[in-house]
Amino acid sequence: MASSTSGSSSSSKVVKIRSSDNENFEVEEAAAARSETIKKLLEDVGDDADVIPLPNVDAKTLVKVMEWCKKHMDDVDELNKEEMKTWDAEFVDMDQSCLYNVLLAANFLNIKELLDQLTQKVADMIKGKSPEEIRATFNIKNDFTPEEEAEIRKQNAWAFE
Amino acid sequence: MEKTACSSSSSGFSSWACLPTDIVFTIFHRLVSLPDFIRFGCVCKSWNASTLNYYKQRLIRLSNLHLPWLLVQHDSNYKCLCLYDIINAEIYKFHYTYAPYIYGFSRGWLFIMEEEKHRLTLLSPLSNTIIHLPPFDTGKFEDEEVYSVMLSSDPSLGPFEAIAISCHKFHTLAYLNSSDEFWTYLVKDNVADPPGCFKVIFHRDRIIGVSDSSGQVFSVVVTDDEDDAIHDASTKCINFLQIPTKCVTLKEIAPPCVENSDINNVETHLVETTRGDLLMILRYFVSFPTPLNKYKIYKLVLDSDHDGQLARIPIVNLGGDSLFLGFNNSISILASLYPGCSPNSIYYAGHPAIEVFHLEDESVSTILISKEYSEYSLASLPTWIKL
Repeated sequence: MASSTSGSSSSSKVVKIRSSDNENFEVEEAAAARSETIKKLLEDVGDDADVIPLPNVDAKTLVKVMEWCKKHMDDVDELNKEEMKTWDAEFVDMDQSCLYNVLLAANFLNIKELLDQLTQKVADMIKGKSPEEIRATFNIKNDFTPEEEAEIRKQNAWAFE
Repeated sequence: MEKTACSSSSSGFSSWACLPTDIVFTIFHRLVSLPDFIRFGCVCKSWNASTLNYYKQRLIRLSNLHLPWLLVQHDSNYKCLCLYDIINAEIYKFHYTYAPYIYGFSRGWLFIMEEEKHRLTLLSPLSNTIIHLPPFDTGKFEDEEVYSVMLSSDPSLGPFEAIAISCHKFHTLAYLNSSDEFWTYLVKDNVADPPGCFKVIFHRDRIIGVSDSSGQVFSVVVTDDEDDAIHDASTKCINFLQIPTKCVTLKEIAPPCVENSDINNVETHLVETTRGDLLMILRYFVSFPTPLNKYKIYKLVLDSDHDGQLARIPIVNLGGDSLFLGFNNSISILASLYPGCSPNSIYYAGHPAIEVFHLEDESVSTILISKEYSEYSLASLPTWIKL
């Protein structure tokens, strides 16, 4: 992701980060600092920082996360709140494997607001679905034995269609 | 980032099952509907294990935080019994292998009648537990006309009492203590002024009954000694099988309060508020010249002395409470705890819609079952379920 100075941020200072698959990115500091993890690393190393390595996030996922951070690096005024809501809704609308990676990255990078949005998205995808449908949606293996599953269902028969 | 042992990626499945526990928790806590929450734990072993410890607590908390559900029935599938969430317009279904007929709901338990056995059965929808009550003596109690059933406490917590009211050719009442093998019946004396159909509630160690059309209030007195009851001229006791066990009598503690001209246009409900006060609600329904429904609410103040009379104090405000009035069981909740619930309001379950009466400005709104569920209708005895 190339750095850009077109943002309205007061600071256009750029930091370098490196993905797990060794791709380097230049990101505005204000955007990168949305991640508490990066923010803390920046504070620790000060201006001596060369490249901040992020060993748990691959390039594809990092692009996605930084796209969110850039969008969210400024305070949003009341007028743009609705627009931002729409943008966020479109942002979290991704396939389950991508969602999984971004969720783990948001957790590792400690971006609370993004984590909230993603976990809410997952919860919304679970709502109203049967366990079979949830497994299909997220491609999860059913590792219960038929007996175990029958027992669980028996206990909560009313919650199943 | 810690990685849990997970071999699923190599088998063509995703790694969602290996999501770190703290993220599973976060997602889990965003599920606010009880069935969603239960189904979440049934997806895979790892999600089940992550949620297991918090399962019971959360189940209780979620069910406590859910507005009363409305009992609805599927038009053709009688074996399916369904709960309607009036705020989110969603239906949750129970399935039975037989067609249950619901006689009411009290303290977390549904009352169903087992066909041909003349006995009421208690069913807890959440735990799927069943408690069989002793059969009725059909010569003394018309069990096919059961009108209302109430419990003194949740049977899963210990001993309890139950009252069933039948209301057909003659109105009668059956009383059961969980330690009894038989129901004890009340039969009214023909000479005495009959209370008509009535409703009862267990309130602070007493059983209070109210006439459905006149607002007359009774105390239901259960005694072990028949002699005590014989002095009460208005009622007499019939002992089952001539065994002197218990005796049930009625005693008036407040006279009728509804004008004679209104007697056919009134129904009465009893409910205990969240603060533990006992309320009597009169609902007046007038269809001509213009449809008009109004409510009168009285706080019933009982003397500590069992022989004492009762004061009815009119009130015009429920405070933060809202009432859910059903055919035979009413529920009060603190509205501020339930998003979407109007405070200081009465939710009346009647056919075909739910009437919401806002005490503040006396305005009325209605809630219909969502068109999405056109094949469902309100149970014949409109009932609110609070799990």
